[in-house]
Amino acid sequence: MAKTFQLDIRTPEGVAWQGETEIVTLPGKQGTFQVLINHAPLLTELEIGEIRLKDDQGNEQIFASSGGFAEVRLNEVAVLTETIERAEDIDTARAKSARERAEERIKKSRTNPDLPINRTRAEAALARAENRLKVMARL
Amino acid sequence: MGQYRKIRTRIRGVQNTAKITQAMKMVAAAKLRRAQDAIIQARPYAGKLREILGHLAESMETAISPYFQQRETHRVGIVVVTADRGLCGPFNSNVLKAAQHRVRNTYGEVNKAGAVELICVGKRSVDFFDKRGYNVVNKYPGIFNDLNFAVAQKIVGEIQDKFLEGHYDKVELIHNEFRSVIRQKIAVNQFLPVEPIVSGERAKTASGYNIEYIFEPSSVELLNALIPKHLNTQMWNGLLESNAAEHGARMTAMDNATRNAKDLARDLKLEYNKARQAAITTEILEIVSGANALEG
Repeated sequence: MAKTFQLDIRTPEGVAWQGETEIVTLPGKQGTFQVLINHAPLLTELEIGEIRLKDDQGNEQIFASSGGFAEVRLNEVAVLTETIERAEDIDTARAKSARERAEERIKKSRTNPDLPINRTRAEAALARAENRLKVMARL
Repeated sequence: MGQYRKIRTRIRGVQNTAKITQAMKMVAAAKLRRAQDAIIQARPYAGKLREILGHLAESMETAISPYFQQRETHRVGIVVVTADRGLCGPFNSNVLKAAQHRVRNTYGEVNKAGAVELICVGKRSVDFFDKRGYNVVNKYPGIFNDLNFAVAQKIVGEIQDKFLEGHYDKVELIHNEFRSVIRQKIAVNQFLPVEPIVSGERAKTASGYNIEYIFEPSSVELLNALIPKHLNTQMWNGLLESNAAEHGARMTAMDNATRNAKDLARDLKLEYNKARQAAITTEILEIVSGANALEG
C-alpha cells in the first residue's frame, strides 16, 4: 500500500475533491510538478492546466482547472481554484463555442485596437477553453 | 341581503391571497436553504485563501502591492447589491437608503463634483438609481435567478481594472448580510484599496516549529496574484449573503402577510355571520308580523 497524504481541491462553489491521495500532478506557474507524501512546505501559483491525481485506491482522475494556488504543508495539500471540471464532465460544445468567441474577440481587438476589449482577459478565456478541450482529449 | 354576499366575496378574495402568500413563503424557505448551503460551500475556499494571504502578509510589507495603495479620494465607485424582486419587506429599501445616505453625506463633496459612480447589482437597485438620475456606470440586473461565481468575477474584473488604472481611488460594497431568518444587517465594506491584512496564526509543525514555506514565484508576485482572487471571493460572499438575506426577508414578509390575511378573514367571517343573522331575523320578523296581520 502506497503512502498517501490528504488532498483538498476547493472552489468558491464547493469542495471539488477531497481525500487520501498518493500522487498529484499540478500545473505550476514555473512548470508542472508532482506532490507525493512528505513534500516540503510550498506555496505556489498554478497556471490554467490539467490536474491529475491518483487516490489511495489507485484510481486516476483528471481535471481541467482555471489556475489558482496550491499550498503544501505537512502532508496536507490544498488546491484553490476558481473553476475546475472533471475531464468526463466537460461540455465540449460549450468549450468549443467559448474558444470561438475568444478567438473572435482577439481578432477584433487586433484589427481595431480602440475597441473596449480586454485582451488579457480574452486571451485567458481562450487558454481556458483550449485547456478544457485538451483535457477532454486525454480521456 | 346583498350586504352579506359582498362580504362573502371579500372573504374568498382574502383567503386566496393567503394561499398565495403561504406558497411564496414555502418557496422562499426552500430557496433560503439552498442559499445558506451555498454560503457553507464557499467557506473552505475563502478560509484557505485568507489563511494564505495571512502567511504572505506576515512575511512581507504588503504596501508594495498596488491593491493596497491609499489615494486621496477624487473618484469613488459604490457597488449596491439589492434583490431582483420585491415582496420582501424593507429588504431593498434599507440598502437603497443606506447607499443614498452614503453618496449624499459621506461622499457629499465628491458627489458634487459628479465623481461618485454606482455599480448596481440586482434589478431593484438598477431601477431605483436609474430613475433618480444617479451616475450608474454598470448594471447587473437579474443575476440572482441563476447565481454563479462567474457573475462575481465579471463584476470584480471591471472594478479592479478601473482601480488599477487610477480611475477609482476607492470602491465600496453595500449589501444585506444574513443574520437570521428574521434579521438582516446592512454591511458597508471597503472593497478597494484592500484593507491591511492581519497576518494569521503561523502554521506550525507537530513539534511546534514554524513552517517555512517555499514561495513560487516570489512572495510579492504571489500576493499580486492572490489579491484578485481575494476580491472575487469577497464579491461572491457579498452576493451570497444578500441572496440568503433576501429569501429570509421574503419568508418573514410572506409569513406576516399570511397571518394578516388569516386575521382579516376571521374578522370578515364574524361580520358575515352577524349580517346573515340580521338578515334571517328581519325575514322571520316579516313573516311573523305578516301572520299576525292575517290573524288580526
